[in-house]
Amino acid sequence: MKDIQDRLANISPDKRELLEKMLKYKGILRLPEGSAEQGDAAGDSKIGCVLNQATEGQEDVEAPPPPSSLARETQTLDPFHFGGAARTLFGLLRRPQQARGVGVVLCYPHAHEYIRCHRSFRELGRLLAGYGYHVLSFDYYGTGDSVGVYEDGSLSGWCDDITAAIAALKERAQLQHIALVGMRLGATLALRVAAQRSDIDALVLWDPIVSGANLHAELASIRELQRVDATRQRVAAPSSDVLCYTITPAMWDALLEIDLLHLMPRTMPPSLVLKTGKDDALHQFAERARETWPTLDYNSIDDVQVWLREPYELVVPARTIISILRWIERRLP
Amino acid sequence: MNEYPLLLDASRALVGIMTCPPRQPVDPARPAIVLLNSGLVHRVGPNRLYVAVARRLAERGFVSVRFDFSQIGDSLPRPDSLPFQQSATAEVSEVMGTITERTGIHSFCLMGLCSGALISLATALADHRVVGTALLNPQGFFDSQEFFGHVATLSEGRIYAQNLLKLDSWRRLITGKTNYRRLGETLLYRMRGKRSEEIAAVVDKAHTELDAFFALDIQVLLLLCEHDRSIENFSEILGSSWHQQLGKNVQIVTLANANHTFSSPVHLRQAVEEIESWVKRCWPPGG
Repeated sequence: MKDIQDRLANISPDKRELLEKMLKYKGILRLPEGSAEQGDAAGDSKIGCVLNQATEGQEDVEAPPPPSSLARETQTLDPFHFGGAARTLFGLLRRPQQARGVGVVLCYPHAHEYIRCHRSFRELGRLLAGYGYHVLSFDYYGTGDSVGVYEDGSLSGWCDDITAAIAALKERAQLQHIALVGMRLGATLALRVAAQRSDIDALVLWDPIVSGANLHAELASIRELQRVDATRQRVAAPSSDVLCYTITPAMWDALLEIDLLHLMPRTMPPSLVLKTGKDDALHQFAERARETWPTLDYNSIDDVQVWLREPYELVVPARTIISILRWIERRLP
Repeated sequence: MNEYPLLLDASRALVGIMTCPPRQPVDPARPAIVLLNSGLVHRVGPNRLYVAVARRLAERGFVSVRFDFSQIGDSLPRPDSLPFQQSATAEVSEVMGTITERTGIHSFCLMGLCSGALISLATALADHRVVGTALLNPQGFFDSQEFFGHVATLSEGRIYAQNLLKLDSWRRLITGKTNYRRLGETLLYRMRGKRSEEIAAVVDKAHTELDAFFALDIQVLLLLCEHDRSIENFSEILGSSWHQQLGKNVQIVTLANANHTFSSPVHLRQAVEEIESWVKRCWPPGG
């Protein structure tokens, strides 16, 4: 152990950080005491380790969950298709061992952010299922394992997909109470869907896209950055894609129309807005929304913006995930 | 829809998708394609590459399965603490068994990018049911960070050398847009030119493994990207003329200007087309 730490001390800080994460993942570094249960899955302990370590020393964060809530015995997996022949979507239902009778639909971000956030949503899903919630994660049309190609996707179509996912979860798990948890564009779409229905019991908006204009600028800057190679030496020809996802003119237009500040829904279920970094537009939206909807909670957490990180970095925004769990527990016990 | 979401192992922990030919019965004489996780990216593959490959190959009559190793993607963790290299190869073998039960196919072609390529290679060495492998930018031999850094520096050195003839590169150098520190480090490293003991040990072990792999009587596709360090992996391990030493069963394709994860629509399309044409050539219908 000391040998590993000595060796880590001799390499550059950025590489050390990455290497430490890899070593933790592989179980080479020591796990925190109490995080490993006798005979449990090594992987469970590792994730418990990530959740526990990420919350150490943070006074304002709520207590991390016990590792037993992440054990594989707490849930079973049920992968399936839904949405009909023309728009077949992939869904994965996590069935809890001791069900509370409440289902949670996870609404992913889009394009390159989808793959970057997949692990975080997996961890959130496992944790919620460990606490007795049915959890459905699914892929929008043209993304992940669902049919279609990304270029044929549309915001209105993806809202329809969320609606179909809610119906599928209700039917497959025989549930009446539903919460939606969305991140980035997924949060914005979940808000649109929830505002048009009366059967959503809780809504979590995790760093929603508030301003399409801001997103447009963000994607444009990524497009510029992707032209430069690893040595920052070569400039590739301009391309219309953003990290391999071709954003059509129609999609650009639809994204630009997003403006939550000026198009705020009139009715909303009890909601939580989570902000994990500096985002003035989101802060403004949350403050204004709090005046409109008395059942809205707003939590600003200093945590990893996981959609900006690559999967190999193995980053999980543990404080955010725990906050979501605790809030849902309070709202839907 | 000719895709089927499945749990592929006895303990129902491994999530996968089986893709079948849409308009024809399964031909058990042709191998099933098994797509293995690229690092920590879940079964759809970087930029959804594996979905595109699976669907294209289904159109050509092949069954394929993409799945998540335990603790990666949607799959649950294992109940034991088997090291990844061992658990991954064991899981590939189990998945191949499940495919046989469901389709009657007894032979397999393993395909993977980066670490997925290395698991393909390791499984091919251990399991006689593997009749082909498509290795896409293999990297990470023996998990050695030192060797990883070594080939990264060599690869960047190659890119710098190629850029010597490009006016735009000189312009970037003069206008301060180049990473001078990295350039200096790369030049110094090349000048030192010494291999550490750890690097020499990795080269030795990997050489032995690759020799054994290339001696197998199976079809092999090496799909390498010009901007990826997998090219340096092979030249460091097997020597600079490595590509001339390989048998007729090994096809090498290098995609110009492409990077490690084929992260442009053009390169992604090229990768799918290269894989499709290799698979069709190796296992023609009724062949």
